[in-house]
Amino acid sequence: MADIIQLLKDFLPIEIAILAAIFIYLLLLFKGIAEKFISLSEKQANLAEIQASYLAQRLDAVEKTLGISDRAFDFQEKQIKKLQEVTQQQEIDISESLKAKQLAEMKLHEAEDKLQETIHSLDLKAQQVSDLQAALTRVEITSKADAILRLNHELLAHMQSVIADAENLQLAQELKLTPDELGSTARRILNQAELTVLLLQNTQLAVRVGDQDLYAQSSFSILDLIKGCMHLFDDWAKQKRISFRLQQSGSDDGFIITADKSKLRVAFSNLIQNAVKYSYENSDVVINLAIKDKLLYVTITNIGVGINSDEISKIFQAGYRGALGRDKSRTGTGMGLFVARSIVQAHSGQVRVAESVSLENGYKTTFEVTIPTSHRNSK
Amino acid sequence: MNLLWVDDDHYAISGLMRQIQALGVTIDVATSYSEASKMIKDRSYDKYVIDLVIPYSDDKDLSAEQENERYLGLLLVQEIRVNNRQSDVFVLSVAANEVVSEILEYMNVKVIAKGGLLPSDLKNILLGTRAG
Repeated sequence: MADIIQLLKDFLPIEIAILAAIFIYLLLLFKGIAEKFISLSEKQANLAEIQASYLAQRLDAVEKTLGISDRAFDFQEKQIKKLQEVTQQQEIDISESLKAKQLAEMKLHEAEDKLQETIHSLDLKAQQVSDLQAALTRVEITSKADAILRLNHELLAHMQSVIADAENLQLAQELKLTPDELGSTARRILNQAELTVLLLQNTQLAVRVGDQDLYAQSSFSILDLIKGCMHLFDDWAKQKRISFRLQQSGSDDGFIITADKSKLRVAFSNLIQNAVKYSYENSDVVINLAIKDKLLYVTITNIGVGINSDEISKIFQAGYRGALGRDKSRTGTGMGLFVARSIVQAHSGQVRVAESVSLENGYKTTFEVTIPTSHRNSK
Repeated sequence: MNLLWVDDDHYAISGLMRQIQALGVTIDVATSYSEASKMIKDRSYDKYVIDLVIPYSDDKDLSAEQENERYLGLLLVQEIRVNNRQSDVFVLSVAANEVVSEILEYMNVKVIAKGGLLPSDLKNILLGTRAG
């Protein structure tokens, strides 16, 4: 300041120089302050710039972050969409699974029902089996008792006949029996005795079925044998007004066979007895004999009570009585056909019968027996 | 005196009636339920001898409904008793059991067992006389 005054006092009065110096000093001072302000402003501007730059950087960073966020958002949106899709798919899947589950449950219920039904039907079957077993036991017991009772019944009938005729013969003089009556009475006793023997032979053979030791062979005329069998039932046939008709293919001496004579007598007697028993009155029993290719064919045909197709397999069973023969008066042991077939089979032969044919006057039934004319014993 | 004898097997046991015939009794024979039923309606007899187990008919078989009629002879006895309380009715059978016997007793019918019967015994039972 003193310098300025010194400098100015050369040109200006002192007072003015002092004033000018003050003024200049003040000016310089202001300038300094201004410069300081400017410098400060610059600094501030720099700072602002730095801040701006920083802000710009931040902004940039924020923008970048935003960009990243956008992408992340997009990604998340995509993810969400995907998730939504997946969820939808899962919902569909779940719904389908539910349906499948319901279906499975239904099927399970059905299966359970079926199982129950099966169990129930099994129970029922078991019950039926047990019932059948019980029935079978009853049948076995009853059928054994029945068989004995039937045999008893038959024997009593034959014995009644023999006893009645025998007493009459004993009292022949008192009763004034004619020679004809004597003859017929004796014949009847003989016949009843023969029928009794046939019954007992049947019983024996029914018990010892298939026993080859019982069989012995000889050569004989089967024609004569069958005539003898028919003769056994002459009286009975006459009473029922049934006629026997014997038909043969070939001469009388052409019917020699080798077999067990007494057994075949039982077999053919049974078949003829069966034909008479199941014939209606006033009918024919036709017996046909033929030998062809070393085979004997005998057919026995009658008209009366027939045989159902469903019982063809049963009639040869021991103790079976025909379903169509409802009439309880047709007594018998039910052994006849069983024994007849057993005997024929023991000769390597066969007994066949077809379903009866319906005719005006009854059912026509034919039994066919086939036996080799010379049977070689398998023993 | 006349007698109706119902038995499908009468020929074999006709010896049973021989001694009764010798006394002059007229014997008519029927061999089935239908035949006998008709004869019962046509006329009455002094005595009836009936087998319990007889066929329904000689030329046809029982229908399914009749299948359980085991004792057609019993049916005949009932038919006789409807119109005739007085005649002697006898059942001659091997088949009579307790139940049937009770029914027969109730109907005033005597049961004779078939099997070992002598003609002289039958004569005594039917005609009520002692054998000489």
